[in-house]
Order: sequence, then structure tokens, then C-alpha cells
Amino acid sequence: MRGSFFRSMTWLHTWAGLLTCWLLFLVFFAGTLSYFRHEITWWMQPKSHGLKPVDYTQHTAGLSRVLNLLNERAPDATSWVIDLPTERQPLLHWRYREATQPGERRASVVKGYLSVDGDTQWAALLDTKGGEFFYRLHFDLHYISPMTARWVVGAAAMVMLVGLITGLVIHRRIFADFFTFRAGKGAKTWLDLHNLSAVFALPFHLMITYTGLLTLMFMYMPAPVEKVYPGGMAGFFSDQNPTFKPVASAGRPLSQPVDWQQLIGHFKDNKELAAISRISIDNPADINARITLYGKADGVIAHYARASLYDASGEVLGTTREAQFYAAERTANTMIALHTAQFSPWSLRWLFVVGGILGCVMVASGGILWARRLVEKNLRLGRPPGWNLRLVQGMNLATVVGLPLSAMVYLYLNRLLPAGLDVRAEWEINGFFISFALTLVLALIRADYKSWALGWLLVAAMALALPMVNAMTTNYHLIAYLQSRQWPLAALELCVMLAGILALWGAARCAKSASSASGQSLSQAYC
Amino acid sequence: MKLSVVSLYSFGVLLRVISAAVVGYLATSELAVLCARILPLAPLESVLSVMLFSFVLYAGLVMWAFYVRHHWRALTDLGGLWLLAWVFNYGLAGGVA
Repeated sequence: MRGSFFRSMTWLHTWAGLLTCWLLFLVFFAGTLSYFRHEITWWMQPKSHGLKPVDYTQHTAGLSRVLNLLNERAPDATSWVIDLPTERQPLLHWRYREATQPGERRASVVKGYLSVDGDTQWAALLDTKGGEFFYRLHFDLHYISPMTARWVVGAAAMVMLVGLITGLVIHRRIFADFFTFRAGKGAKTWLDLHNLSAVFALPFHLMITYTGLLTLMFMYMPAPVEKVYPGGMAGFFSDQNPTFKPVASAGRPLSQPVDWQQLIGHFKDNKELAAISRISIDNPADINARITLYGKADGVIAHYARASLYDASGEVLGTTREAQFYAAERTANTMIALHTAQFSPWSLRWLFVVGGILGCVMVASGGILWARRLVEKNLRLGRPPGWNLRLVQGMNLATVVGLPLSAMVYLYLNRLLPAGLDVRAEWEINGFFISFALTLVLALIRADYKSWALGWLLVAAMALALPMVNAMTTNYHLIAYLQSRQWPLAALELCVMLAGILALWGAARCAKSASSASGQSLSQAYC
Repeated sequence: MKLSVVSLYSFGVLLRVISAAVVGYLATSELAVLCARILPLAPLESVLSVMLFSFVLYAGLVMWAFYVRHHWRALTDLGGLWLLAWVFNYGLAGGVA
């Protein structure tokens, strides 16, 4: 196409990139926030902010308390799941699935949390999705079925991978561009920013795109397993992880209580773990009770948790095979772990975040570059802007400014909606999308520098005022977080304020461009 | 009826897009199955290896669909690859692919 390899790949890079850049920006934006999903969730549960910092490896008291609680409340549940506290998240979360009632399609799930010291306080969760919302948003989107969304996001990720490879092969001066930034030169500036953000974090971009596809490879590329593996998908998973062995309840009550100390001790010794991360129990009060213990080893880049399946007497029925992993399994395990970065300590996590932010910049600057080039071409030819340019400019503004703005609205609604509101969590999310839709409509009407400046100003105002809103609506505030060494809570508010200052700078830049464009031709007022 | 230049160009782009997205995927999938069959590894390792590699292969095939000089080549090349892999798979599976 177009005569040469270089020109055909440039064409592919431009058009494939343009068509997907807004969705990719959403994925990068929500994905980057997901690196802090536990911290965001904690911040969005203000009733838990008064907890004192505790040693998260000492969970014996909390665990026995939650087991008693579940025994009293939900002996007939079909399953219990207990997530133990970690360094990043000091609460012990529990949930149980009630027995399916006649006429119900899916049994309802009841959730709650317990402070880790167990004795002093425990409370019901505020109805919010917290940071989980951003995590789900970055591959399940919202309002459409998750399966459809995953195919859409997967297709966009494939385009991203093609975009990165074509971007590399059409890029003739990679080293020189590392040091090239021409400020205030219109399209050239955006091109330099696009190149810089791409080249600077290229290993991250390639890794995050490729490993993102791998996280859902059993959905995207199922044919090898289905057609070649003996027993197909089910056979593959039960061979690969022998802890999945569902069993029906026998209908007879468990006579002897489970010896948790012995069980956990056995698991930790056997799997060389310092702490367990999750306990899940199927048929909890039945003689067919099945207990799975999970744990993550420190200092290992691994996605699959170590796990063992026990029956009620403590007999091991199956255990994960990390010691016998094939090379391909180890590779997949490492790759997917690199995507989720669950393994990473906070310092390294920040490096991932920088990569994610550069990804946002790369995708956004690509879209703006396309529009800016057309603006300059129109100026040269004296043509008025067409609908295609208007659309791209509107979408650029709506995603780049609209998404941070909507994220702020989401955090605000968490503090401002009444606690007892029906489907409260869903209204926080609806608020996010209503804000995004409004921004989109306004951006499609007008997306000049003035609108950008106004948008950034709004983001800045909301971000800088967030700690104040938190102080007014809860019993806690930024200084208290710092004094009680609740670093994640303090850091969240400080980071939002830093983002607010950046947005303020953006507003000032856009306002300057708007005023210098006034009196000149109309097109000059658009980026 | 003679197609105008613009619509011929659009048709070419459409053909390349369909060839890349749909036929490219089918060819990748079929090739992955073929490789999983013939790799001299344990089944668990061979299927997982080809799945890890398949996304890179798919990206390559997509680029090929937009590189070839004539748009029909996008369809014939990727379609041919698919057919070839399918025939081999059919043979290897003893006629039950």
C-alpha cells in the first residue's frame, strides 16, 4: 500500500492510532489508577480511617473473630471468602454467598470488613466500588456486558501493539529524538511530545500492551487449548492448577470444627510463605467443606498465588505446581505479574505509574497531533475546518480533560452522597459517566484553547479542594493522616493536589495560547 | 459498472481491514493450533508457548495486510496461510480438524 514499506506503515500507524486513541486513553488512564486501587478503596471507606497502623502479618485475633462472625451469621452460605490485611490495605475483608433462593438466578453476596486488631471495632462497608471501579473500567468498561467489553478492549490493545511496532519501524532517528523537543512550534511540538513519551517509556509500553493481551489470552486465543490439549479448557485448568475441584455439599453438618492453626501452619511451612493472603471455604458447615488457602511469596514476580486445597480434616486434596512449572508457565506467570504489578513495592510501583502516565501522554499527543496537522494544513490552504476535525478536537478534549474531571466527580460523590442511598455505588459511577457525557457534549460544541483552559481550571479547582471536602465530610483530614502515619491516605490527597497544580499549569498554558490566538484567524484558536 | 477512484480506494482499505482483522485472526489461530500440535513439548507447555507467541504473529500478519502492494494480496496471502495451516491440521488430526 502507498508504494513503500515506510509509507504504508506510517499510514497504518496514523489511522489505526486515530481510531482507537480515545479508548486507549481511557484504558491507560483507568489502568494507571488501578496501580493504586487498594489505596483508593481505602480512602473511599472513610469509616475505616481511624484504625491504628498494625502489623499485618499478625492476623490471628482478627481471623478467629471473623470466623466466629461468619459461623453465627452465615452457616448456610455456599461459600465464605476472607481477604486478609496487607501492607497496602489494613482491613480484613470478608464476604459470603448465600444459598440460592428459588427463583433467583444468582445468589446474593454479603460483604463486610473488620479492623485487623479485631477486638475494638468492625463496621459494615460503605456501598462503594472504590478503586475496583477503575480496575474494572480499564478492561470491562461499564454499562455493557464484560465479555463484549473485553473483546473491544482486546481489539484496541492489538491495535496498540501494531501501533507500537509500526511506530518503531517508521521512526528513523530514535536516539536523536530522545533529545529533541521543539517548544511552541504547533504540530512539531506535539510530534516531539508524542515521540518523547513513546521512546522514553518504550519498554513499558511494549510490556504493558503485550502482557495486557496475555491476561485474557484464554479468551482471545482459545483454539490451541480447545483443539490440542487433552480435555480442552477444563482439562487444561485442572491440570495446570489442581486446586479447582468443586464438590457438592453432602447435606450433613460438619461434626468437628476445623483446626485453623494447624491448617495455616501446614500451608505456610509447605509453601514457604510468611503470611497467607486469602482463605476461601466452600460448603462451610458441611462435612464436604473445602478450604483453599492462598498466599503470595515476597520478592517473587508471580501472578498466580500459591494455593492448597484442604478438606475439613486438614487433608491436602490439591496444590499449585509452582515448583514444577514449565518454562512457558513461568514466562506467562512473570508476564502477567508484570502487568498487574501486584508484586511491586511502592517505590517500583511509582515507576509503573510514570510509565502509565507517559502512555496517557503518548496516546493523547497522538490524537492532538493529528488534529493540529489538519489545522495547520487548513490554515495554509485557507480552508474552514470540516466535521472530521471538529469531531477529533472534541473527542481529544472530552477524553484528556473529561476523564480526570470525571474521576474527581467520582471521589467527590463518595463523600457527598448520603450513606443510605439505594444503589449508592452505582450512583457514584453514574456520576462519573454523567460528568464525562456532559464534557463530551460541551467539547463537541466547542473545543478551542479557551475550553481547554476552562476544563483544566475545573479539574484543578476540584483537585485542590478535595482535602478540604474530606475534612468537612469525615472525622479525618490530611494532617491527621500524616500524624497517624497513614501514608497511603495522605499520599492520595497529596497526589491529587499535585495533579491539581499540574492542571492549573495546563489551564494557564491554554489560556495563554487562547489570548495570543485572539485577533488571528479562527483556526489558530484550536490545538 | 465502473468504480470511481475514490470508492476503489475505500474498497481497498476495507478489504485490507477485513483481511487483517478477521482473516489474520483465523490464520493466527490456525497456525497456533498447528504449532501446538507439532512442537515436541509436553501439551501444557506447547499450547501455552504458542498462545504467548500468537499475539506477536497476529501483529505481524496485520502489518502484512497493509504492506502488500495490491489490496487483493492481503486477502490471498492471509487466506492462503489460513488454508495451508488448516490443511496441515486436518491431516495431522486424522481428518477431524
